[in-house]
Amino acid sequence: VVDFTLQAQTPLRGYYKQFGDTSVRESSGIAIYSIGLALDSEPALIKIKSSLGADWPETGSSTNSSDGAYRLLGLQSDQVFVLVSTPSANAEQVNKLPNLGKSGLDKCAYITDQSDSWATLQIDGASATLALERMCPIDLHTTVFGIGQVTRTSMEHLAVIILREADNRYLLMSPTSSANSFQHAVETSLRNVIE
Amino acid sequence: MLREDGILMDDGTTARLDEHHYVMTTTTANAVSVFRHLEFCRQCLWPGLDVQLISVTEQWAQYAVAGPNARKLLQKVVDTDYPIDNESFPFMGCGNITVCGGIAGRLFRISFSGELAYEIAVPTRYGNSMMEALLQAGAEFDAVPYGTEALGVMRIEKGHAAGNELNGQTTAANIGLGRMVSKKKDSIGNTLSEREGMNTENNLALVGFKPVNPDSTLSAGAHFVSKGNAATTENDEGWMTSVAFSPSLDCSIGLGFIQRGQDRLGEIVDAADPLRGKSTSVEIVSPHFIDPDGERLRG
Repeated sequence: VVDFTLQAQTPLRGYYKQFGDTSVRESSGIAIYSIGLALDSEPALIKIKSSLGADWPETGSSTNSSDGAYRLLGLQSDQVFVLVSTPSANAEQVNKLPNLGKSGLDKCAYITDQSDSWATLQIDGASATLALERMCPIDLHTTVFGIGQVTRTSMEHLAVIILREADNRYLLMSPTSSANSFQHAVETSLRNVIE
Repeated sequence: MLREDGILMDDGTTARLDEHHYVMTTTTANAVSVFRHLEFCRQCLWPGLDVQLISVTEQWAQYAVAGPNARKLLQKVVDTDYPIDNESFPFMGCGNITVCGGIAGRLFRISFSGELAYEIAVPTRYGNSMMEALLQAGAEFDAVPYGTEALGVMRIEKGHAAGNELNGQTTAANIGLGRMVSKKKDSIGNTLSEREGMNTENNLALVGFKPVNPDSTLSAGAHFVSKGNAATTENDEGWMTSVAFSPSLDCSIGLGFIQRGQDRLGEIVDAADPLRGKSTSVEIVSPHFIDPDGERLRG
């Protein structure tokens, strides 16, 4: 019997902070899986529709399952990220995607756990877009980058996946190992626009 | 991994976890260029291959556990459902395991240090906790964290090539791994590594160097000239790539490339270092200073 137990830590230790009208929090209760399509992609596309209840997203856009449990981010033509909200924000609860395995999706597509690869920050509030405009090189105007759109970009030299959830709410994903630097960059930009 | 022109691009490990599932490690410095190269191969060279790539660098926290007690230490954290004795988990083995009561992990029996060694990976969220557990489990064996300086000494003692030897000019044959490039099938770099100029009698070969006077200190960057020859460009036969003080051998040791190296073991040459104003007599030896038969890492 092994005498040691391991404690899970999220990259930003459950960070939450309010900056005037805008909040920044770590979305730690999200499991992330990549799904890569096989050359014969048809079986996987059908399986994703039937088991996750979501369509394959075009690159740059996202789709949701009808029950809201799954969100698919279209990052490249043959590969998406699936975000799965877990019932608890506890990092211990983020485990395997039971439906994907049971549905047989893993037999016709390439699924890789990416949950620990990304620090996930949600920035929400009236100053969110103002703050991001200063550090995000893509055009965030709603006519160009609308609700539900997603892209890979960089902020302060750090890789970022940005998803627009609402006019002034974004989900930002950045690599775990530089999570603190990314959090600092977002905080700094937000302070600069609210003060 | 070779470039198209037959020159060494990077070194790493490839583990086969399932029939069609591989995990490849690269050097830190070349991680992006190797990934880009693999994507180029997948998308442009062989778009008909059914293969997908994704980086899992951030997904796993991975630790090298090295030394004669590495297995005993790991047996205290790897769940007993996964036996890791020498027969069940031999050198170069790999597999999915669980640790500390059911946490999914991966174990690789690979050794860059030359010691009996494993690399153990857990999801990043458990990384800090795993390091603490490893040090606690290792306390009875006096386990300590070791860094790249210690690793650099051990890999030179073992004769493992690293960045200094993979400088964009050298081939698999140069570092003594020519047999890994199979001639029974094609591979990237295979054809162009057969170019005449890369296969001459005077080919550079990676060998070891020991100072004739054990109190001498070797220096990387020194150039080799045969005894009696002046230290000129015309007489240059190769260069010292990596040096270290070996605590095990109690002297300075080096790795380097010299023409026809394997055929010259025992010969004394000058390691000329005009930049530092010195020249040191060195003996050409096997690059495997310690445990040449690999008994430690297979033990």
